[in-house]
Amino acid sequence: MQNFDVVVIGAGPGGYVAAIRAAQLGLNTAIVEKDALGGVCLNWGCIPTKALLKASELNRAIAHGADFGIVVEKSRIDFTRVIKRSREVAEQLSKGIGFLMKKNKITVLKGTAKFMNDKTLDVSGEQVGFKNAIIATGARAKQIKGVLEADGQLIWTAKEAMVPTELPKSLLIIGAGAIGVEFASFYAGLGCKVTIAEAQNRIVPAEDDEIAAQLKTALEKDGIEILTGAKVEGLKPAKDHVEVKLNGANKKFDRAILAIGVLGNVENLGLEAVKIVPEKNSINTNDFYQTNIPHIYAIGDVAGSPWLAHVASHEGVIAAEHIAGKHPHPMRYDNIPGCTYCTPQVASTGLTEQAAIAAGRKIKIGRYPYMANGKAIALGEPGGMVKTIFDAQTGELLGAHIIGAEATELISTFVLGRHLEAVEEDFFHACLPHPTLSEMIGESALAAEGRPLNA
Amino acid sequence: MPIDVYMPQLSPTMTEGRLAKWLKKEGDAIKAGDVIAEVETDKATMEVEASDDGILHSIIGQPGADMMVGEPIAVLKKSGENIAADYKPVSKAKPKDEAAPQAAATPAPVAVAAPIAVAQPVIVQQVAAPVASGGRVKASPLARRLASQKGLDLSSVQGTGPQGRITAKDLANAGGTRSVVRRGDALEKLSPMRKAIASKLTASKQTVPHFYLKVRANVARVSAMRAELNEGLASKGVKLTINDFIVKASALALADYPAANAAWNIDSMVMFGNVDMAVAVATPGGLITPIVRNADQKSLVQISSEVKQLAATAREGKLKPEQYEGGSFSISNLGMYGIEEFAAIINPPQAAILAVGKADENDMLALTLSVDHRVIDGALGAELLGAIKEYLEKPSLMLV
Repeated sequence: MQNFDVVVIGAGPGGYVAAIRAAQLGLNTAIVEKDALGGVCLNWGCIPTKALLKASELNRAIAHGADFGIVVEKSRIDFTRVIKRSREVAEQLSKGIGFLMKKNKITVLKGTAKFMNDKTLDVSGEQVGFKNAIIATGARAKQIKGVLEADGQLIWTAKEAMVPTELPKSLLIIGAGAIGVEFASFYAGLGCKVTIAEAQNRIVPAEDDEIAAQLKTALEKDGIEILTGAKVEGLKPAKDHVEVKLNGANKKFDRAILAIGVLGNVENLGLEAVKIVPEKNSINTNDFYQTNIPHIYAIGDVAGSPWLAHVASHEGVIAAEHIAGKHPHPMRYDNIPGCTYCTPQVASTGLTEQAAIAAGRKIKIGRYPYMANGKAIALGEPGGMVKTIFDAQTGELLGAHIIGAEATELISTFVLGRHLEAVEEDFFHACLPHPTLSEMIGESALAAEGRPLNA
Repeated sequence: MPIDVYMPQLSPTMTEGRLAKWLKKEGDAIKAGDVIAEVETDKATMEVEASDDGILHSIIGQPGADMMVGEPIAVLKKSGENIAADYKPVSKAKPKDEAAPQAAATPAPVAVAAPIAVAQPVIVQQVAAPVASGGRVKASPLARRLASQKGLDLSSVQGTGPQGRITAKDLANAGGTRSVVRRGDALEKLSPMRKAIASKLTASKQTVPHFYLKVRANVARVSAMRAELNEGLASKGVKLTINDFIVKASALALADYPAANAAWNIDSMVMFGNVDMAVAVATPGGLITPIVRNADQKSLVQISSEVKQLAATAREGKLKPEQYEGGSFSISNLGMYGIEEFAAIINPPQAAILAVGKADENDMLALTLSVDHRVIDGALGAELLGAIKEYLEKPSLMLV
């Protein structure tokens, strides 16, 4: 029987990073993966969808090429190639993880892990002994049995939506969270008629109200139909299409995507053998991700929201350091950026305006439009806004919200600013380069003071 | 011909005055009797009246200036008169040495008491806690701002961020060692009143052989009588204070022991013909002692209303010399400040002062009599203080 200081279950962005950190700290580490290294993020989530969205953006750019004097007489979408490239990207990165495991002398165990007791795992029939275990099994798309259920052919979850053989002409997306709107932009950008049905009365519910409203307008302008407060009933696959009752009316779509959330993968892990009882498909932990069994940790999606790859990775590092006897700082959950790669992009960190007000903070808000930024105009990306929310009394940056081109890149400066506890003047005293979209960071902070320079 | 206006001598002890305020400006027409300026003297703020009609040609003494009695402060002219540009009024002030016949009362600064050098403002940072290596305190911008808003000294805060960096959270948890800011000393010009207090009390402490007598008087009956009288007199707007009773008791005691109602006069003793009680009043400018004359013969109600009036006038700085000069005995009461007992400095040329504290929970009131031994010996002082105690403990005697 092989014995390890640490066995990580699941090689997604939480698990593989935890394994690397544990190995760096001199722990004899193994990682168990039943599928491809990299998990959902790398194989069926973040990364392949970005590759898909790039194709879609390229198609839009070609459509607007004439504005720049680049006239493309005739373009054609090779949908097979679009999907293939996305797979190639995922494959390349998955291989990269394999290399990282090797480099860090981490034993990769192919198979399915199950706790036999608090010292031994069964990995597809092989017994593996561990001093510490890290559960990083991730999550899967949520379905509601008999109501919102995927068949994998006509009704998809995100995974199937990434690898269709042909481009549907019409598509119903159920759920207007990050995953829903990203697929909407991808398919709409390739010419598919997209309808989003969202039960809540707004889209991207995690985002600031004002940003969400601007996004809704932009998506609709892009030809996407958005039904908020929608009632979806009787979703079922027919012969070559999907039938559904939308707000009481019978509708047909070529395909449908369920994007109504995720569920932690807590099943078939043998948790009962170690007396870990998950709650609503997620495992409870302390600040260092120890479960009720102190040498068994749980990180990432299986340990609950926010279900984000960057959160899982950070949690993995903290868990590994804790196992190694280091004294890591607990993670700050008030400064986790959320990025949505729809067109236009949306990114944010910290409190929304509504949350700041609800928290009783006296705030000052800076709004700076892309329209006033030279680089944005030159790029042909004049739509969008950088919105900053500062505490009126202390100058603390409470939240930052961006909608527009490269919003997901721009947000990092605000994340770093919040992490270092920057105050408003830090953002405009720092000399930011010209011409960049980043200039809007300083201008937005100035706008909060009522004195933007270029607006 | 120009008319020179001089710093007037507004009280017998006044040698110089500070121009507080001009009420007329250059070019104003003036009638004899008009108040043209206010002058702060050693005792009070007083008005300077014009003695002639004319036009205020020029102001020489600027507000805030200390000027000797007899120095020119302004020039008046007749309407239409032309005054030479180089016209300079001649000072009638005596050279300073001669100007002060009561040398003892205003001694020149003693050599020992050399003016103190004024320290430059210094900000003392507490020695950094182990937080910082190399002197710099590592703190986030927000932590720095919060610290400055709360007046917290960052070097006393333990940082828990990377490499001991102080974060906003650390400040929230910090017990709150306040940063110590030392400010520079400032030299403040002496007001005439402050100068008078200093010279008079220094002379008293240095030349008058003080001794001190202490008793405790039970003031339960005074309190009861006071409550009863106040209830009866409320409709007349009278509200007697314990101090009014003490004034009256002291005045009656002095009348009973006229030998104690006296003053030292170098080669003689002044045996006062009247019992004039000086009552110490704290004013924004300093201590002053207005006088209730013939207090032994006045009723409690009279004493009470006079003391009130005089105290109010004193606080406004408007006492006239005749309201505070003379007096045969002083009373200083710090009971309202919660002081249990204290000893006061005799107010020369008087020979005694009574220091009154606050009655304790058993109605016992501490009385300390400071006595000039040249005038009053121990036995006489004891009899005087005993009599005061007697009146306070049997207050009905004060009413007959």
